Amino acid sequence: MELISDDGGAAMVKYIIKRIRVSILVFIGITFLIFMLSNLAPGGPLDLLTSEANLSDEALEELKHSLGLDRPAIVRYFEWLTDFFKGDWGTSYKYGTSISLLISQRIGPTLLLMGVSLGVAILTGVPIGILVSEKPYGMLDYTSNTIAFLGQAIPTFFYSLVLMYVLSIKLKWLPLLGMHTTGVVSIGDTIKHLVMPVMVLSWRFTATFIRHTRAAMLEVKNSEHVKTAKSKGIPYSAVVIKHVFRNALIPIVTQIGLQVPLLIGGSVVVEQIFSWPGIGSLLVTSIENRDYPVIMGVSCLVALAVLVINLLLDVLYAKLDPRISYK
Amino acid sequence: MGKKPHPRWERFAKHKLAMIGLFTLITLILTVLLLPVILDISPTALDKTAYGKAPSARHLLGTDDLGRDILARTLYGGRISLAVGLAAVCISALIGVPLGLLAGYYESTLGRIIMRIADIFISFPNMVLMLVVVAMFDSSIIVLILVIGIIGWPRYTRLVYSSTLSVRQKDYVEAAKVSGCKTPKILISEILPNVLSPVWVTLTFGVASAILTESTLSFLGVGVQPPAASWGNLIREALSYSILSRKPWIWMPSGILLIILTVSVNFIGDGIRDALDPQTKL
Repeated sequence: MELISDDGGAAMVKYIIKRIRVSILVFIGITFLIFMLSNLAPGGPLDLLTSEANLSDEALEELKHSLGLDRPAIVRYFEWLTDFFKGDWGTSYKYGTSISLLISQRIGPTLLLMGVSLGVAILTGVPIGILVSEKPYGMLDYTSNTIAFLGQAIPTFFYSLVLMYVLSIKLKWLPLLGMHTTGVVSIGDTIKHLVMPVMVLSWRFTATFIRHTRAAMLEVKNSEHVKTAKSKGIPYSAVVIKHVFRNALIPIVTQIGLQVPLLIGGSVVVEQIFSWPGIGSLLVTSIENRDYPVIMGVSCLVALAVLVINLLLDVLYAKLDPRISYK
Repeated sequence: MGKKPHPRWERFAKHKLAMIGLFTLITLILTVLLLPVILDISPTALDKTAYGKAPSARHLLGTDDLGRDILARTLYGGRISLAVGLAAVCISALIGVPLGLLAGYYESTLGRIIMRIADIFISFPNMVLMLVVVAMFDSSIIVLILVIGIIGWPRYTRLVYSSTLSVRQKDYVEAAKVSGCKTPKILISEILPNVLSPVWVTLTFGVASAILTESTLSFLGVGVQPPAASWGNLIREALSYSILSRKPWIWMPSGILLIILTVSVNFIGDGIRDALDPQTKL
């Protein structure tokens, strides 16, 4: 690795620009793939619109023309892309409303669910990971390993149903579905609705954070500077917090980045099960309805979100670790 | 005959959890294959005298609301889950391993392009991509296998790529090059055997995750479609409140078998990992 010279700032800007260029390429790649697939797919938008009406060939051509479906797919893709960046994401076949409106209604609940889940996972996983690294192969280590293992082996949707069955139907402690009780708008009510979805969504991420925090802490603990700090007589807790944890942060931040795609995928399933009124359940409903503009819009939003988050984490990563070269 | 077993196999046989996993998996496979034949039950036959009935001597796991035998549906669903999982993983590896070899061997433009595409696939939420792609084609079991298989390739590519990078510089590869071996021969007979061992581990864990993916997609309604049964679409029945709250025999068995299957496959994976590389302990 290369140490940064005095022009670190300029190098960093260059690095960020390079990352942005790569991200744009990735974005175009993903959206192009999905756009082409949605056009090639049997049972495409036209079939959907004409399935009920018995149209003549001419009327069909006219409909195609009015929807712009008679032009080459590649041309339509670039039109779609320019519109996308202008903020015009198209109109839902099913609801007849604009997709940006649909998404703006649904994004809040999704961000709430994912944010709380990620927060819970970090706030429990990281401290437990630190604790476990104090006594590797101890009782707590063993327990957390088992829980982590189960988190990976038990399918999310089955775990959700069991929770619903036990906590909501049998014990009646928690509301079964949705984000609000109809007619009630209070924070307490929303929190109650959040408990089960967050329990489900955060489990495997908590496990991941425990595992990676433990590994990172153990690695840093064996390094020279920590031994030096200890031998200088600095109190143990100060060594752990100042010297070990700070350096262990880097792999932990990397993990957050790697977990984002899984978090998004997981929230699609969780939202659908708990009828959470977010982007994920919008996606599944649109797929059931073959509402292609919405599917396109949501997939692109996801692609955009993943890229932006990775970009931000890259920058954060570079800030945390001065050894990273921006080449 | 009478040959001493390979030390790797001995290490695997000593791994208690892996042996339990292997035994459970074999039992499970035999059960889903043989039990429906032995009991002579059909997953689609409708029993007009039993709609949504609890387990009884006639229907050991009860029936669904159409009067179909749940035991039969669960066992047939298990066949489909296993088949989809195995086939999908084979496709992933068949695409991923050669690409990884190529990318690692030709580290130039070709390698960079392959690895960049792998990055794209990995950074995009697979579940979203699969939902979208499966939904765009009429979901059949073949489409499901292809989609899960094709989307899973980058894992293998990354793994093989990094091992190939290090193996490529070994003396025996140089020796093969100097002695005039053609590139395909070097790739297949010198490099491939030396990068495969981590692939076996990933393959095993991959079966578990492909089965989970299939059941998740079927659960969401875009995977295996009724009347065909799969564990995912049996558990999907529980999205109806009356079934979730009052007819657990419809959805619980599939969920429990799914857990048993993934846990045992994961145990086997752990065993293989420890057997191939006794140093790593996670």
